[in-house]
Amino acid sequence: MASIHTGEPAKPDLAQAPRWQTYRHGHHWRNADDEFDAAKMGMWLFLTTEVLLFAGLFVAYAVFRMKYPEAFVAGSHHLSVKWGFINTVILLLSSFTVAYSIRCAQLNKQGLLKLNLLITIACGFAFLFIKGTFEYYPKIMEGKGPGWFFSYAYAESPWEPIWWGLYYCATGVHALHVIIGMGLLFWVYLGARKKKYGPTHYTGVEITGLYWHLVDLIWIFLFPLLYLIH
Amino acid sequence: MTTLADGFWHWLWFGEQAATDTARSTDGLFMWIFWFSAFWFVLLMAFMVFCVVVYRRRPGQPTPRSSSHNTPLEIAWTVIPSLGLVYIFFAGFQGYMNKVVAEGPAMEYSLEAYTWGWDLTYPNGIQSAEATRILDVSQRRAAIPMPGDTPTVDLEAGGPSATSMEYPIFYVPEDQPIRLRMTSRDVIHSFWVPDFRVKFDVFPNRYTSYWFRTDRLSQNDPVLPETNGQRYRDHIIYCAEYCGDFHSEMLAILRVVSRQYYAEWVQSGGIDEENTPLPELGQIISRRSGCFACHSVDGSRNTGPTWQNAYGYDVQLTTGESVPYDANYIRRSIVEPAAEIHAGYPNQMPSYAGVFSERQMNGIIAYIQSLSDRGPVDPFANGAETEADGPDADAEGTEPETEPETEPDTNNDANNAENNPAN
Amino acid sequence: MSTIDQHSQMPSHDPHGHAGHHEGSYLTPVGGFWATVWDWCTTVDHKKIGVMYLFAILFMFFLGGVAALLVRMELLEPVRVLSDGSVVGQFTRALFDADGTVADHNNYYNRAFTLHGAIMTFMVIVPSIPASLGNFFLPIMLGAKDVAFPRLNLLSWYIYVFGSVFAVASILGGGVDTGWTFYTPYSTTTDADHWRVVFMIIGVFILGFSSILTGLNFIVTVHKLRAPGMGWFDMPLFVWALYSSAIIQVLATPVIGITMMLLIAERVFKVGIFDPVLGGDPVLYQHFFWFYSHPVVYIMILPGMGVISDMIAVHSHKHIFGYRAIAFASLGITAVSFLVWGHHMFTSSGELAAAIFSALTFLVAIPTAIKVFNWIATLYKGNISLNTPMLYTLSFLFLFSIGGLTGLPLGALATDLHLHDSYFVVAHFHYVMMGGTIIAFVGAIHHWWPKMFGRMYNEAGGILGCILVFIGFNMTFFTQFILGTRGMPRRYATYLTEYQDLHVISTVGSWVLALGFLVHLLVFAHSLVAGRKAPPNPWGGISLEWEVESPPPLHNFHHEPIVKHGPYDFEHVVPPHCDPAEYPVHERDPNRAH
Repeated sequence: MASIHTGEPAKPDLAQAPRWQTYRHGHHWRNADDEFDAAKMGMWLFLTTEVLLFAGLFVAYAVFRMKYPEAFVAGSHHLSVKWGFINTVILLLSSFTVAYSIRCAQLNKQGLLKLNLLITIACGFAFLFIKGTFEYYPKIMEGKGPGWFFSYAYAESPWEPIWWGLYYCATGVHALHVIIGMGLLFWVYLGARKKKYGPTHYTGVEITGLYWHLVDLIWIFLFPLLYLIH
Repeated sequence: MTTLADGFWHWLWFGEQAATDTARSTDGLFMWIFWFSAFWFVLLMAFMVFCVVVYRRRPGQPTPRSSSHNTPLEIAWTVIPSLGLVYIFFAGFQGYMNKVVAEGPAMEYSLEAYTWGWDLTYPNGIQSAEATRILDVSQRRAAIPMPGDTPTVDLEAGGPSATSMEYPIFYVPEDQPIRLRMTSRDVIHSFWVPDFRVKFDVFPNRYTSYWFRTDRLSQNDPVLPETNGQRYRDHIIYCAEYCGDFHSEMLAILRVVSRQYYAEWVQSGGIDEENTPLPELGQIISRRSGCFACHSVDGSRNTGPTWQNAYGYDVQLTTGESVPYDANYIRRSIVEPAAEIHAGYPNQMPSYAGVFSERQMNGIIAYIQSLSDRGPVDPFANGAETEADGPDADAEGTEPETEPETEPDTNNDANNAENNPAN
Repeated sequence: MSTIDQHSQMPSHDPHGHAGHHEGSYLTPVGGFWATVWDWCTTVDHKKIGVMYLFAILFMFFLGGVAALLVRMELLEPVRVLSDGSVVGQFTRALFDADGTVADHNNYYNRAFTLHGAIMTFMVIVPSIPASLGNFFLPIMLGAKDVAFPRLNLLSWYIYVFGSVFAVASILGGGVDTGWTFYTPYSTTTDADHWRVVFMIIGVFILGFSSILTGLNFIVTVHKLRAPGMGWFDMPLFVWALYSSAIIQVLATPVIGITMMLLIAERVFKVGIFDPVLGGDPVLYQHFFWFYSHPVVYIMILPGMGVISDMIAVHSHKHIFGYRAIAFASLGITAVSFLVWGHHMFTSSGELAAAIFSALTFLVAIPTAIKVFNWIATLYKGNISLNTPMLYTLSFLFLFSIGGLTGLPLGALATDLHLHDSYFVVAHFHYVMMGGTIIAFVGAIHHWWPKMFGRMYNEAGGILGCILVFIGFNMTFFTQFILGTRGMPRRYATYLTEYQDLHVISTVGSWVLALGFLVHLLVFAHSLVAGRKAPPNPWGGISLEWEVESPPPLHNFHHEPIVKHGPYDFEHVVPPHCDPAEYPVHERDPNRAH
């Protein structure tokens, strides 16, 4: 897989050129394409580990859903499909903008690149804000907290704390990934301001985008499992 | 010749003969695997040594030409040992099924594990209270002493060891399919009788089962004292799943007796809670529940405070306040041990809430009372002591409510117990 | 005869301008003392990181070894030893009872074996060969200048140190008594009001990242950075083994990550997933744990097998027998390793699961056996030098064969119900993990010591150490097989007197073993201070690492190498930097491919 070169070839005048044109690959690589492919491969492998990390949570979900179906149905009814759906839309939108930002880097549209990155980060903020304000906060106030913070008096099943434990573990670990992803995107944004990314070098945008897609993908699995299946 | 060698190796591996049919078949499989492994191991090592000796480094001479692979040879050494593996798998699976599926209907015992001990409830509902020390198990069948023998290990010198603690004895009839329905009160344990070559894990909140059928007793087995020639055979029970501090002392003894003796024993054996005097009942319950692991009765310091001369005195708590060591304190300490911690001792006792019946609780209280020089007095026992409230004056002063145990006893402890439930 | 043609064309550009004959070795100090320290702390050079890993791992090995000696000391007598007033007892008390809250029973012993197990698995054996020797030699063997992601490599070292500090800090709070397997519900309820258990678990969680980053780096390096001319089947078998184990590292480690996270949530929030009182399932924990921790034993053993393949060929001066069989066996082990975790739970799982996992377990035996047969066949018609690395290789074959064969009664269901959680298991996995991985590790350190540090070690001292380790090891652990079949359960601080004789032999063996390692330590120290300068190719090896100077130059190769022959073509290739009279070769047979 070679990178897509759609922009201008690097100009010889390196002193005035933006940083993406003067980028030189690491000394142990034969060429920039190899380095780019390796970075992508490394990221894909890392995403594999992330999927397997969440696989543990999904297995726990499946096991306890079989064990205590009524607790899971009851717990699921307490979740707001509305806010879950809105968050899904927000993340899908952010996936689009992050993909678009890669395209912008390839086409050397520096302004749109930065704008798309900012929108993506803003989507991350919106996701976390909705999660915290409209989901975590009222639920914890009602006593539907994790583990020994669970004090909800009207639980329909004695095993509802398990459901809430899994809910907070799964969404909490996912939220942690959103925060990490936002940090990475911000780092890429700072690079983009310095014109680090362009048609011949956009590795950072590409692999951060891959990571953000994973964050989105995990939510695409979590949303139906937690909110929709009754 | 081969049987002699097999006998030697069997002795080396297992020490003594297995005690059930399934165990003997396990030994057979083990020895088969052993000889299978020994064959390949010796073959490989002999060839390795041969090569090292014959093809030692010869500087200046080229390494002789040899093939870099040999497909028929490689297929052979892949397929031939694999056939052995297939046999081992099926034999192992068959032996396993014999171990998990009981042959025919079985007597069912209920076994409860806890940190750190075992409670066995017999089919008729009694629980065995008999306990013993284990002295020298190198001649295991003969050397488990009867109650009253003194331990050979000096408790003071090196602290307790597996051979110096007291362990419960569970009685089972010979040559009878027996199933244990096992569960745990706290963490995971594992029930292992090495002589049966089987262990199964014991979980909280679920049942697992353990099945065995022992051999008949033989003329070589020792005779139980105070019986007319009844023979018995003892097997060690271990906990095989790590469960904390006293994991290595979570032992018990499985005693195989004749069916006839078992039938007699099970009528009177175990604890007869209703008719055992309270302090004695308390002592039995305390031992069975592992209290003596932490609490001494001779005044010596251990993980927990001693019970000697405790009752009737004041207890200094970690919070700085001082409360009377009375029946309420004992009950609270058993049910909710973390609430009031004796100063200078770790907060380590697990809660025994819901474990003891009311009469057992009374028994423990009565037993602790009997260990104190400020316990309730019995004016009719020796006739000399008439100052009933004297020893308890301190406790009374700080305790507004009238507690049954601070009342003067009118008779023995059994009577005391009859009063208690009424309060 | 030139073995490797230097690449006539330089890479199109070199941003650092280092390529040239003027550069010194990677060990050459860059300036004053502090400048050199700073250079090492911030280095992205895989060789320096490998050396840093090596010393960190050896230090942890020392700590874990001390804990092991304490464990063996306790078992010298049937009664308690560590909690009495002896010197050893006082030492243990100072170690595990800083704040005086540990009860005075078997807790010292329980803490000692937990510390030993946790250190040796997570901090020594898992990273041992890949992170130290793998980091150092994988890029050189591939003809690369570095691993694919040098900065991630440095990060992984810091994560390793950070995680180890976290885990070991738990002994400052009094130590952890859960056992290294952290079985619930014991691990979630013991010391419930103390942070030390959580610290240990966090440490294990952090160490997982280090392992993942190393594995990820190796996979990409193997795919993307092989020198021109090096096909997949021209790679040394050590690289194959590292590649196979890196796949396991990447695929299995995240599962221990989520397991440890859930365990922390369980302890801190009482989430209840693993706690039966709250409706959780402790067996689920065991499945999660072993889904990582069984594959992890192949993370441990595969690199060991890899160095054995290399050492046995180099020191026999002969091509390896059945190269492809060994390479595919590595991949086969990787594949099957994920399917056998249930064999740790025969005493707690249902009949069907037990039968399936038992059958799959025997599948793992087949590729392992293939490797052993191939190694021993390699010796046939060889040209065998009996030096320290070769003696360690022979020790490995002896000990690992015992370790592998004693896996058979553990894989067979009927016998496992007896042997599970007994000393037989302890002996079995020590024969595999220590008799396999650690023995291979120590042998490989000797094998590559001249290359890494540019100095020879004292051969007589190395052989003495090897013999002591071999004798001590067998004394310590063979006795434990017999203890196990005779019914001695593991993790017992006190025991019945009938087991004492064997325990005494075992404990004395542990002292011999410690003495052997002490001899090695002295040999290494002597070599660093006063060792003879090492030639580039002391053993007559022909893979790429013997091509470069000892110690290697900063960027490994002055020119990008082009590979013209296989790594084990000893019949036809005069080893680089060696006298052809000492290593005569055959004419290449035109009818046979190399």
